[in-house]
Amino acid sequence: MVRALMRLSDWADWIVRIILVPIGALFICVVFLGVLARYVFQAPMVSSVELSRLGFVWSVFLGAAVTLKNERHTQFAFLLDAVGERARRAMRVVIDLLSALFCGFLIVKGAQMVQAVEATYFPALGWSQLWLYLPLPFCAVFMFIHTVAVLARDVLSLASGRGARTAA
Amino acid sequence: MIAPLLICFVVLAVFGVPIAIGMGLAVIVTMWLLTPFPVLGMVQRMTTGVDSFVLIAIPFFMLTGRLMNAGGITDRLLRFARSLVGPIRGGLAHANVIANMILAGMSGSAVADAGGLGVVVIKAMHEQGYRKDLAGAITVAASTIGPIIPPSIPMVIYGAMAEVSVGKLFLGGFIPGILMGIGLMILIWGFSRRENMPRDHAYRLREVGEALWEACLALLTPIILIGGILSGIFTPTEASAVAAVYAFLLSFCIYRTIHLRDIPSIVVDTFATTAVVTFIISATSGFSYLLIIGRIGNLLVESVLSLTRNPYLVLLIINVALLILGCLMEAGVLLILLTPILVPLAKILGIDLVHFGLIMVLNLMIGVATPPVGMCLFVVSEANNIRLERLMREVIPWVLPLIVVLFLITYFPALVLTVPNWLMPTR
Repeated sequence: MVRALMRLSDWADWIVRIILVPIGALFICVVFLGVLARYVFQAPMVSSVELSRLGFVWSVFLGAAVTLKNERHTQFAFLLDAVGERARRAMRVVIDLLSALFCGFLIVKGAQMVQAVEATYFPALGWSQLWLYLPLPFCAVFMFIHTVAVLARDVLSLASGRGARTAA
Repeated sequence: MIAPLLICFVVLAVFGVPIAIGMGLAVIVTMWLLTPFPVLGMVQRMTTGVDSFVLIAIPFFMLTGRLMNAGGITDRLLRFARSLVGPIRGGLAHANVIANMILAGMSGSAVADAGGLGVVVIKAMHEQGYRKDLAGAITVAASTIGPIIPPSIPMVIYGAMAEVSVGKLFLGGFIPGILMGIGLMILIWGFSRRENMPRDHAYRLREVGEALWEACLALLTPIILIGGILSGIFTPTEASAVAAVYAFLLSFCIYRTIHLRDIPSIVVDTFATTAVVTFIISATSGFSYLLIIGRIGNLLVESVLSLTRNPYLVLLIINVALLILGCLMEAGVLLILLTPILVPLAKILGIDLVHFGLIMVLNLMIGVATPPVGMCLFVVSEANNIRLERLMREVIPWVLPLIVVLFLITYFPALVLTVPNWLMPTR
């Protein structure tokens, strides 16, 4: 069960990376082309600012999913370091539960937000604003998968009394 | 409302919940239980909090630093700096500071400079006979110049949150950054005899010319960046994109040190590192909203004004508090949390927000070099196999010139404001 969840999490991470590379690269090009168009070709791209903001929001939340998978989000670890091994494992389970709860909230409420803004549009692009609000619930799905996989690993570790990686 | 919000956040953060998630949960619980506003507002704020053209500069400056390191540009900069000051006693230590000052004009991140240039320079210093702890300590202190001399990622964050011109903030960092470099070089000069620091052979003019030729294309980056912003050709955000594309062209087409297959991992790494900061900014947007509703800025202003109305005394209190907090918390997190709280206070006291921004950023950069929680200390210790506790002890004297500069810019605002007021008087 834990192995299957970890594999699902790896697969989710692979998908996020596959999406992030073209979006990130395109977003860099859009900002650069915006400058070129305005000053070299004397033909400003009106929609480049909106497009770059959109690319940035997508990159931020996709990047957040990659960071969560790598367990690199900033946290204070002094209490975790100070307590004994068993207490640390129990604390990790609670942290994973809270993280999963937060991601679940982002999925549900984020989806409601997408529905709420569906009929509003970007002034220059003319696209629906749902593309701006979609990345949060979309990426929260991947974050939820990662947190559930880590939760399962940490619960097993707590129950078996072995280190998290060994338990998985 | 604010007390439960802060208590909830502190409890979750101390417990070890990631800062962004802890902040988000604290805001959701507070909004749900203690305000009439729907929690859907939190999701909206999380998106609008990062929907900013100014913040787009963060991944670009990170990418520029990454490409400069991956492309071996840092080696060229060090060779050039070494050719200038190598022959004097402690020459390589001086070159370390100068190379960091030059790199500061390209990357804008202390941690990136410590992790990139730091590895190269510490190895060279150790091979020349410097103690590794000492080389590490000088590198940690010198890397803090990175976000002071423009460009600067913390200044972009502050500028976006405080609604201050990022261009003016960048220009405001010139003199303080140079003063930090001079301060560190004076200290190196003072230590050089006691530590019996070695020196290089005398470089011939031809060798200096060769080093300059090798580094000249990289040295153009700060000129393109600042020149473009000052001439109005591009905004700081666009400048960051131009710098990233320029760094890519240098590394990929001219120096040929990175390959097409490296690009996906560089892009993913850049955005994953960016997300560490921007996800916290996203979650903090709801927090800032509740602070405004709870009138926390007004409450803080009223409490401080009941104690004193002297802006210099208030700045002293803020400096001491930030120096202490900077030792305990990560600088980026502190900047994001404290900017919406402290900026209203600075406004009421009539403190120029560019001046205040520089004070905050320099203060928090000292935090990345001071124990127990100093990101540059961790990076240098880990990347160079230096014991953390020895590095923490060794770094203490090297932080002193930085603190002197902090107090100089606090009480002589002209050191910060002269350049922006001269070059960007109307913007």
